[in-house]
Amino acid sequence: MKRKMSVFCLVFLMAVAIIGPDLTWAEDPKEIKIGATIALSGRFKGIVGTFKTLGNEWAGLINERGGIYVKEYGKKLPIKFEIYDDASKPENARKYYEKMATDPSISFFMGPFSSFISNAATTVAGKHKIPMQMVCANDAVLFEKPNYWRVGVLVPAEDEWERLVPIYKKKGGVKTFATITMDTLHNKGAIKGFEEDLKKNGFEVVYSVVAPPPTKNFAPMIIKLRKAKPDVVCIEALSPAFTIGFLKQMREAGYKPKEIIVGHVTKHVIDALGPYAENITGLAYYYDGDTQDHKDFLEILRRSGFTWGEYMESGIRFWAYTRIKQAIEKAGTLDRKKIMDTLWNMKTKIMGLDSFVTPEGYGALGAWPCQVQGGKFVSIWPLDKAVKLHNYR
Amino acid sequence: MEIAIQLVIAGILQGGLYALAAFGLSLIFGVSNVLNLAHGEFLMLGGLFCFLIFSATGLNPFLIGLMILPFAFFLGYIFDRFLMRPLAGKKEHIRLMSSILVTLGAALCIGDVTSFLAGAEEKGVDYSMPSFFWGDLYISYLRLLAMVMIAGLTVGIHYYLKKTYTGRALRATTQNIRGAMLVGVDTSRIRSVTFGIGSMLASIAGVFYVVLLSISPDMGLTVTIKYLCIIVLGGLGSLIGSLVGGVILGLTESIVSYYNPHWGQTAAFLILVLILLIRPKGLFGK
Amino acid sequence: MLEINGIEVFYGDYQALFGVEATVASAEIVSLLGANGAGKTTTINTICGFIRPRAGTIHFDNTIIHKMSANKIVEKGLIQIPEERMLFPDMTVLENLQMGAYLGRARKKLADSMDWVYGLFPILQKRQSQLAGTLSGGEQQMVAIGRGLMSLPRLLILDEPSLGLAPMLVAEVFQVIQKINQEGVAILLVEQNVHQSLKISNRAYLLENGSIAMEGRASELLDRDYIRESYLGI
Repeated sequence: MKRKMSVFCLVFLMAVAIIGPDLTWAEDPKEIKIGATIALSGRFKGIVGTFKTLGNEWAGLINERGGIYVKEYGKKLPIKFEIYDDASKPENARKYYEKMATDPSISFFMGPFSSFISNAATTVAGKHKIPMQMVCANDAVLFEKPNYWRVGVLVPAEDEWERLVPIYKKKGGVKTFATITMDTLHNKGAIKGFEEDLKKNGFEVVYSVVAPPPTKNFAPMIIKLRKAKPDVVCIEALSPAFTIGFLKQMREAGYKPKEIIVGHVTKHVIDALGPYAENITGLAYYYDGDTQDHKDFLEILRRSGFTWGEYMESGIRFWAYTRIKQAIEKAGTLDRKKIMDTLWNMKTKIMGLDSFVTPEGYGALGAWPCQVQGGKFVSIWPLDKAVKLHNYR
Repeated sequence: MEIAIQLVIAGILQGGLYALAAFGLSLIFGVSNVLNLAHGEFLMLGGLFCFLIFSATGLNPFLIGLMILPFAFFLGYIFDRFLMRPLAGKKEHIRLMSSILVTLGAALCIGDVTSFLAGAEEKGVDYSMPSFFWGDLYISYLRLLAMVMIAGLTVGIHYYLKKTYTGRALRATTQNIRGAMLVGVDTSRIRSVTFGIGSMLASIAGVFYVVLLSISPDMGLTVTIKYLCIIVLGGLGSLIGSLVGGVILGLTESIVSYYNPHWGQTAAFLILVLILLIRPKGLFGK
Repeated sequence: MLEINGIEVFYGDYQALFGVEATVASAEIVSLLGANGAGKTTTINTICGFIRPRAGTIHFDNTIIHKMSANKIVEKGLIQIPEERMLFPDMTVLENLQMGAYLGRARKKLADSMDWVYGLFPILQKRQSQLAGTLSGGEQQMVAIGRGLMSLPRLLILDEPSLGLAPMLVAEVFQVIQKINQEGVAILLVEQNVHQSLKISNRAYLLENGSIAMEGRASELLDRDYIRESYLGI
């Protein structure tokens, strides 16, 4: 009798264990959980390590206002991030996204940093049919094979520099350009687009070189650069070490171009270069404006303790967060398929600008020119403002 | 012609920087017969401390470099005392293998802890000197200063090894460890001292790194591998070998990079293989 | 001066020494004889601190030395001149000799000791700037002995000093050993050249299979039949 009782108990417990999660899932969710990995360590930490704080501060701001309204449940739900450290490695990202895919309470994925790691993450999203809003990932390789379950926020890498050319065209004073590119898909893509743009607009590219990421000795390239005498020197490199090394050695060589453009200009590059960084032109995912989005963005930056210039990629995060919020509100549900449909089709405004997704899955966010002035980043957009504010060296 | 001269100058100046840290690695290998894969970490720490003190005080970075030398020595000394000395009693090949594992572990650990405490981002010290121009040629005073310091250190170390009792004991330990013990040399202490000296040299190289280029916590192993190549090229345990090896690597990189930056590193490694084929023990190896 | 009491030495599981007992008094020449593999080198390496005995004690000047590190033992004035010589091949003869005076006590008397060594081996003065690795075998042996003397030994242990030398040189080496002894240095001589050693020694021990098989005055041992048959081939 006793034995029968215990067997019954065991069976009952097992049944609860198996059915239990489904039962709880059938209830209304208490929050909207977004899963993501971020490079909290490893080689990208210096560029993105702070974005965990940024995400949590954004969630905090939205939750202070009650959360995001989901029509299906007739109420506002708070947002919560679940963030893992992928240590800048795709295999870690894949592992954590796979783990999060088994958690039914996670309704959304946000992508990791870089196309390289995103490539691994989007596979998981596609496999488990979980919507993924990618972030800092806009290289062609990601969009070549169709995957319904991921969309980007950025324009293609090739268009990243497109807002710079009009400034030089309108302002005049420079004719020849040189480009120094770190050998990564992203950097090469960005420079390829920029060079085509320059040629179309009548500028001349007098020197162009692609160097491997670990390059330390830039003297041979600088010798050629000095011969080519470009007005503008452009450095496009994901690794700050590359940019810093090149610029320090160009300074040693005494070559003084009228303009230096650094594609990935961050606080650390500026700090390492000191006063030499003055009037370096860069690109950031932010421009000065006064929409509610601008106010929200500056507020979460303030709470996170850094500025948009110090981490030029922070704007991309804000756009992605906002797109997720808009998609949930528009879809009125947490149903994964419906949200994904919405992400693809939705046409909205962020920071007063159009936000949409192209048929390939690219977004509409491009970078805006900025310049280091007085040791700080100054946004120089729109064009009229740029021409007025921008300084040659 | 001007280009050729310019490339050679750039190559030699770069090579000098390589040689400086390779020197320390070679010294350690010669005396203790261990490979220190954490050597690049000592370099990084030298650069990091220079950066931190520079940010706080604004002193001349090279002055800071000299100030942190005793600390670098101490760091190398205790590293050997607590991590390497337990291996000293092992058979030679076991010691070599264990030293690789232990120092690799230490390297990863130092890198991660540094990244945690001081941040993973690139750090550079903003310090520059004008260059010397002669027609189309230019020589960077900063690198020239590096060369002068390296030459000075080479001469200094040479005399240290030749003329002082500790220096001689260090050489004696390299040449015949039993013999050194028989004349009363405390070879364990000499090993720790050598590690200290190696760490000092790496730390000076780190100061040049943070001034001329930039440093980051994960750079250690990459530079260690480069220095390993240099000392293999020059002959393990040979000081002049590491100097010549460094310059050869710098020159090759510089000249080949002029034609194609991608082949710079590869060419340097090809030269390494070529030299090892002709002289399996390296240029100055015995 | 040196007292060895029942030392047992193992290489892993293999026992090399079985309760070896021996003494050397000051100003004495003592021979340690025995065939290859009898345990002579093991004995002196144990005395010099390279091998730790599993049992037994070694005293030098009434201090326990079998737990000391090799360099500390050298500091006490117990110096070994090894069979393999263990010179520093890439150092000059002069530097090798200077290394002998590495420790503080010897360093102060460097000039005096140098004169002493050059007096014993005039050829070394001629060779002083030559690298030790380039010398002939006999000259290397002289440097090895010279380096040992530079450490100001109070007890000098010589391991096979005549090995591989030409007969004329062998005689010279034994002469030098006597001269050193006359300066008041006790000597423990490990030799396969039994006849010559016994002739210059006061006492001797015969080591067989890791234990002392025979001991006594040197002149006495020279006459024993066993020694004559097994070691002198008479």
